[in-house]
Amino acid sequence: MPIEPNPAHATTEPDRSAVDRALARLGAEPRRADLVPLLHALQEDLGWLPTGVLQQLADKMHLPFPDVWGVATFYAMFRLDRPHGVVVHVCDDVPCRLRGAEALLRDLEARYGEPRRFGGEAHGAPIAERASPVDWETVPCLGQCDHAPVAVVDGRLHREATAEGIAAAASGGDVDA
Amino acid sequence: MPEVRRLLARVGAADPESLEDYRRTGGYRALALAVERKAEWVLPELEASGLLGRGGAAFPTGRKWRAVAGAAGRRRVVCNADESEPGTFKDRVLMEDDPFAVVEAMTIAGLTVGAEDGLVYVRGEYALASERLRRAIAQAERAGLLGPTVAGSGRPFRIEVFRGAGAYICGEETSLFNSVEGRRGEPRNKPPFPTQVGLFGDPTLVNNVETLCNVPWILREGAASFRRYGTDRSAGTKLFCVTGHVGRPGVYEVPFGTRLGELLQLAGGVWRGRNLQAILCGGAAGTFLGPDRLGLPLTLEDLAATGDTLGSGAVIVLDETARIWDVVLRVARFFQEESCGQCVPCRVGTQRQLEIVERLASGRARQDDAALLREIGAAMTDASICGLGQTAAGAVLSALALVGEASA
Repeated sequence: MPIEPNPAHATTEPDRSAVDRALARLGAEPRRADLVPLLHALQEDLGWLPTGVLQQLADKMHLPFPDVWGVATFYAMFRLDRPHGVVVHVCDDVPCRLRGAEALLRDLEARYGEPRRFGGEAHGAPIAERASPVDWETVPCLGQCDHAPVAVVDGRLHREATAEGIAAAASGGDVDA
Repeated sequence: MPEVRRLLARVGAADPESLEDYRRTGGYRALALAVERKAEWVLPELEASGLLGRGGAAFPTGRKWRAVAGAAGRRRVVCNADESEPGTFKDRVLMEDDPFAVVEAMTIAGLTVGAEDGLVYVRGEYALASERLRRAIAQAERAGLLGPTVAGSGRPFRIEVFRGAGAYICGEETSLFNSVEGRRGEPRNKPPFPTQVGLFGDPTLVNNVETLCNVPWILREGAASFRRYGTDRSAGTKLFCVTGHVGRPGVYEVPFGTRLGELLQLAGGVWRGRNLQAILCGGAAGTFLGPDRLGLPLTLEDLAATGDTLGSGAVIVLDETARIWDVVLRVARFFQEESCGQCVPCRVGTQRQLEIVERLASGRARQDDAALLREIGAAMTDASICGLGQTAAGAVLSALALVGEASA
């Protein structure tokens, strides 16, 4: 394997069958143009993209592993490390910052510690052990500026977001959606 | 000048999941005309309308359609819905609230340029927009408005929805092609232009969502009606996303030529009774305009005359309390993060620009920093492969000109 397996990226048996499931849903011999949709499907299934899964996908698509790795790391929505909690994306771009995002970011930092930077800091680097139930990341403009500030909690959009609302949604008790 | 809701006519007024509602409000009348009168009527009508691309580059839409219609071999239609310019959400509103308009316009484009394959590249974060488009496409297929024979024309056309995966650069059309082809979204050199060599190497018509949504209206109401709004060179209406320190942030449709101050008033003016400090016009790829520019007519020609741009239509308002260099810093970080890294001027330039802006924003500017910013900006603007690098210094340099480094 071109990249040393990182313990934090260990691939499990259910991960391995995910590639078969994604390819079965495709229903045809995969072409290179199916790569981005397949990566979406795998991430929706597993919550992230383990290195071993990318390797397996490369083999099945008859593509060099670095090509698949290069594509997966290019796009910020693809996650190559295992989330340590509920994934929360918070917009920290200009329009949200002008309407309350700065205070929201401070509140979240006080609750959950420093955020990851968009796209993941250093793909492939070991993940620090974190106790926080929320794995949060600041992201560029989400195109919801008329409802600033905005956040996405486990895939669900929160407009006029508050730290309390995000915390409630992250712990399962959804309040403002 | 009041709002003119042409593109936004159905937004909030029709059920975006109902083909029946779409038809009741004039939908699919343009396609019927295009099927009946064919390309020899559609192309001149579009050219006569003076419609220019709304994605930022303002290329004449009719000329682009004619170029693809005249190309040899298999042709394709792509709708660029990778809307990612900070402060921009007009295409999201159109796709969510009027998805059939996008589908109808793409279908007309397909029949006119002789393409059988259409693809909408929707920004990955726009889940609802993708869902609404998928449902609209499925309904159109069931109604025979897409598929093996479109509206009884005997000509096939289908539309695929492709989800992006979080890359601002993929709004650049050749990056978008690479992304669809399963590659990193890095731009290609132009020429050849997409009208000659585009998606999968085929001649490709690429239009922005807002551009396409103008097409059914133009064909239904006529090019002359379209030209009743706007100026000679900037015909029709334009969607603006007014955000930041305003009373009512949102999408506003106004005729080209509306003054910046009038648009600001439509959005409720500067909030909390405060004074205006600056407007970031065109998003991160735009420039800062000072309060002395409120009389500016919003047309492509008036903005271009001063080296500014309407860009995607983002109008981000900063009141007197905003720390403008913090805003500039976020813009500089945005470009540093979003640069694809393929070409040197942009990869190195956005990084160096960020480092200097960090110093300016924290009051640690060195004596030659302003001059260095201008030099880096000139190199990125002149030598970058694509629009990202070419516009990455605009906001920074305009802030420097507007407020100077002293107010850092």
